Amino acid sequence: MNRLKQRLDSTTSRVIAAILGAFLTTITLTIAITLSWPFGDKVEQIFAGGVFFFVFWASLFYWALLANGGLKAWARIGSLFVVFGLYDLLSLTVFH
Amino acid sequence: MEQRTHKVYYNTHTWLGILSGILLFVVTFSGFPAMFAHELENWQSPTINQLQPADDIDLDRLLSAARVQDFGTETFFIVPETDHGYAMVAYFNDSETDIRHIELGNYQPIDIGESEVAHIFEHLHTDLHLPRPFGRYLVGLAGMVMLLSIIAGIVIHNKWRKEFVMLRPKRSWRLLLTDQHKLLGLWTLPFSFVLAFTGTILGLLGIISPILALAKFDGNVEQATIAVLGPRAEVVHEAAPAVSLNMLYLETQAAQPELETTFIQVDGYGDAGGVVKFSGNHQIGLSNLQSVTYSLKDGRQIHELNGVERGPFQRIFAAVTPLHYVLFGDIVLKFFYAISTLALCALIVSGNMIWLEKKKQSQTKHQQAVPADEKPHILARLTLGICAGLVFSCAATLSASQWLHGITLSTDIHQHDLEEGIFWLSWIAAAAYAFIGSDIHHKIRRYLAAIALTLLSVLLADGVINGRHLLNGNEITRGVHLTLTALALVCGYFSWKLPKPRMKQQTKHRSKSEQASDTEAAPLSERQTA
Repeated sequence: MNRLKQRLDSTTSRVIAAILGAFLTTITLTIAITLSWPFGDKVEQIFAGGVFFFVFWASLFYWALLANGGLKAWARIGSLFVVFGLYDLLSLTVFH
Repeated sequence: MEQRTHKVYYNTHTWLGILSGILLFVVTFSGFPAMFAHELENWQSPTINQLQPADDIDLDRLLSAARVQDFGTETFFIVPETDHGYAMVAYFNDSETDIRHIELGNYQPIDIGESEVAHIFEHLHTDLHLPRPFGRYLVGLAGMVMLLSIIAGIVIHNKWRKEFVMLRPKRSWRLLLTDQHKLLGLWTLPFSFVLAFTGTILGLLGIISPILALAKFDGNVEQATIAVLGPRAEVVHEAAPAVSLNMLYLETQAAQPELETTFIQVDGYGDAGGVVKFSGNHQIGLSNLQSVTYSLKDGRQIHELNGVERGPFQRIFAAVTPLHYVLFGDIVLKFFYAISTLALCALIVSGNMIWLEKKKQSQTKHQQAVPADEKPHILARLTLGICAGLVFSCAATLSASQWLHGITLSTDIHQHDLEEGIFWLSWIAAAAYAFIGSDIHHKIRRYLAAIALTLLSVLLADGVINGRHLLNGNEITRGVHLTLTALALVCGYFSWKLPKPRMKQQTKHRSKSEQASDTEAAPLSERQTA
């Protein structure tokens, strides 16, 4: 258990959180924006989420990288992933 | 700023450069000829180069001259090049490619030659010659890395007012490299930011937009495609005479007076379900999302896309391609982009060189003497071999392409295959040369000299084979000649003037001023740690 914790807290884990974790969270965030953007037609709503997706990715990348250790980085990225993921799921199913 | 924050940004900037600098160079440098692909294509073909601009285009006559009935109801494209006096009618399917060129002065087919050199460079820039869409994604990732690197670069260089004008050529080599890196980085910042921003969207939007379209259109990909691009033909296999394309072209001009039609897609020609789409760039606003689609059966307008009048996010997306490929402004702006591209290439290479110098100095700090036969670092060899090798292979391919114009090839050998072969072989050979021997500084000089000579051989070939001697011909030819001459002179100058490495036998002999210079060149976080 301690070994797993050590691995998750390592620099490699922090970098993976910054690259992969941030990328997956960016996808959930952009889907959330697309689903909730109130202006324009459907195409405009797709571009509202899509055009700046890499700006979100870059922001999340540095936010994770600046964390003190891998666990903190995963906590930062994971919390956002869960929030936006749940929002997407509810928007596409319950509130559809 | 906290020391740790600064260190994280500094390390990220460094590692991004080391891990992806070479890829960034390949993508950035190939953007230079790709930006001029249109001009290169024109210059490459002496037939096209001699044509006179046409005032207008008769599309119905063009279809008849190109014998489009051969294509049946398959999709084909028309690219009207009225400014250059010809039009291209092209048809592609999985196994066959058929491209026909028609002169607009007399509507007769013309042979423009087989050179594909402009497309080799263009394809390297957009897809790295990898299968679609993976190459495109990799190029998009390179844009993303550039963006992350720019952000870190801005954060770590906090004395930017001083660094805007600081270049100390007479101090240490590392200080010169550092000053040059900061200077180029700051001066090209707006340009590199625009390129990274637009390049990332062009490369990576393909990953994210289908996911978003699926979410918004309940998984109906067809509906999402129609909403963005307009309807496609539904071939019903019922013959129907097509409405005159000239009439539809006039209607397009009336519907969107600012549309400069650069592409006409005909889908299901001669079928009752056929459509035609006129698309192109907005002449005033920055937008290439302009199109009008008609039914070929009755000429009814069935879709219109006007990026300029859409919402803010579509408006931004519409401006991405014109901003990235300089589809606005005049040739002077294009040359500014070109110079900035080369500066960006120098910036990428100098980043790797700074890291190598830093590594070398930290080694000499811990050793009494540097071995005489010290092997260059693998990154030094890779940077030199791949980056200088690419520049050399581009020059060699251009030169070979010109000489091949003068050679009669047998029917089973195609010029574009030879050009592509020469491009890859010369790049591989030049890259391999960097791995032979250990005197890397001499090699840099040889590479630069070889590039200069090869570029001059392009001009020689153009004179001997095509009779277009230096600065003779139309404005495109003169522009190409000037650019090649300028590049050859710059490479020749640096080959001659590049500082020679000093023989550092012992670290204890390093002068105090040199050590002070190196301390100055070291980043803030390193100095604070020390």
